[in-house]
Amino acid sequence: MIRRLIRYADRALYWTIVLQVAVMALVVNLQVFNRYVVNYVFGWEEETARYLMVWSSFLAAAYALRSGEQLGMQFVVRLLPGRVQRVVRIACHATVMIFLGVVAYQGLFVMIPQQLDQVSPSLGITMAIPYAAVPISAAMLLGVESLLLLEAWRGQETAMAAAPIEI
Amino acid sequence: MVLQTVTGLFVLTMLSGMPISFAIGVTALGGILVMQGIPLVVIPQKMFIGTDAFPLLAIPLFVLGGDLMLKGEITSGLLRFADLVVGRIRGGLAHATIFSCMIFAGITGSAVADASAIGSVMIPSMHRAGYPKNYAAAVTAAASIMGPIIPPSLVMVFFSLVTGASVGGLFMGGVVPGVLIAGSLMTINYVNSRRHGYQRRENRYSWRETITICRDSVLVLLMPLIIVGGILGGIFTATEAAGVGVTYALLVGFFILRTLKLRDLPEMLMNTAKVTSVVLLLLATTNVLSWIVTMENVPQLTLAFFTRISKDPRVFLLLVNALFLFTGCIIDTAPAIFLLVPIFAPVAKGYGIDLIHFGIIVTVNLCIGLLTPPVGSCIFIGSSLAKISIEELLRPLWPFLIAEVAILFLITYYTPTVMFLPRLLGY
Repeated sequence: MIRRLIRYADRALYWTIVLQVAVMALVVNLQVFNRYVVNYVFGWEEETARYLMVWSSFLAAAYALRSGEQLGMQFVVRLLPGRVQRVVRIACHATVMIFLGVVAYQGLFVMIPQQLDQVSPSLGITMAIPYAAVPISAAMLLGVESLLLLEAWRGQETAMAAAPIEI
Repeated sequence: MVLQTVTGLFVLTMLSGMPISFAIGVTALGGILVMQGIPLVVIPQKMFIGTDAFPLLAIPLFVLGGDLMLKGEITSGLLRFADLVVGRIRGGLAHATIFSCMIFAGITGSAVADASAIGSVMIPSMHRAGYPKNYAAAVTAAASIMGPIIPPSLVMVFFSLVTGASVGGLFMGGVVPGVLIAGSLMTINYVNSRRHGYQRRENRYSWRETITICRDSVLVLLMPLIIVGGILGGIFTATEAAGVGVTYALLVGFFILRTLKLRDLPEMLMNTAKVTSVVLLLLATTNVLSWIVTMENVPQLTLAFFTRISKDPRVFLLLVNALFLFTGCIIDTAPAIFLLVPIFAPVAKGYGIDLIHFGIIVTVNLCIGLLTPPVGSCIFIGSSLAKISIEELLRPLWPFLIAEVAILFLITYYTPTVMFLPRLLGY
């Protein structure tokens, strides 16, 4: 039952991200179209595209972390003996969790209430909506990190992507 | 005290193998705790502000455009066109690889996209034509770094975002260095081909074949014209150009070549979001750290440090090149830009160096870092496409790498190579 719920949530998240990226690409093209064909840029295009990018990326960050695409400098740690490596990995995940915890807590309980009264210049929505991407992403990353911590504790090495993703 | 904590934490977390964006975030958290009296809420705030910028949309759009062109096999026309132009020179197929990388660099803003789009086809066909696998992979890797040097360029978009330098000016500045790199790589390939007996294309194309190849490649050759021409002509911004590129690739892939399938799209869109998320998370946490670094007057301290060594900008550029080459070996291009440029761009300005010139030096320098172990995306891609080890790939890569470093010093010390075109166009 719970497993099925998780699968549904996962699917829903996947399609949310896919849709956000698709709409974002569309809106940027619409902006060019509006400027040259309609001769009027409304202003909401840029804002919409920006917020969609922020939201889709912060949501996808958890996926990228899970599939090992968030790379660090592994070549120094690899030089250490196996048991020390394990301790370092556990310490790393724990430290990252503290950082993410601070971001999620401060974001949800301090930043969001502050931003509720702020209104975005052209869409007129509360700035809490775009800002919320950061703490929500941090909470999701916290979940992934706790899984990774568990794996490191059991001594399994996290699966690494074959090639690092980079610009 | 703040600076010592930040430096210590940074080195420690980076060496521990923590993902770079988290290492920077943890460092920033430590710095803020030591500074005292700063509310922790600035961390999520600065993280959002660092990513909420229109120019950054160029990242997902260029990634998506590159993916669409790769899956839609739009590049195949380009490869045959390159073979038509340079294939008759000795070592022709390798020349064609370099030439295609140069043209494709005018479509994509990323070296990784360049390496995978060209390499996935050219490495196997060079191998079939009698080139050793490691040579084929080395040529592709060395040529792929033109991706972010020839406009459009994501690295330059990042540089402009951090420094406020004009994207158009930077783009123009990259043209001559990019072509110089292509020329030097082709020269080395020619010498190698003579020595190892790599052949040229034997058959001549008839007029009819020539026309067919040109017609088939028009679709892909139009793209750099639209993208680069559109940006320089002031028709659209770099971000919008990337967006128009996506539409173009979609139209060609779905309606003209009919190579794209609707069911491949969701996975490509998801992949785009994932790639973007890596850069955006990095920018988010770096924005917090940069804020601390600026509060602590690090740019001014750095300028004072360098002027004590020498007042000569040439000495400064030599030191900066050495530092960036070293950094490029151990970290990727994007983190290197976000971390170092906010500190060094004001220093370069203090020495009277034009920001466009400085931006091109940094771009070329960090792109060379994509070819050096232990962290070099382009050699990873080359080796995985050719199914050889990094060590095997490095042996034939050295001459190309040395030539590229030589070009780096040429553009550093002979300013017109970079500044002639931007000046001509009034940047």
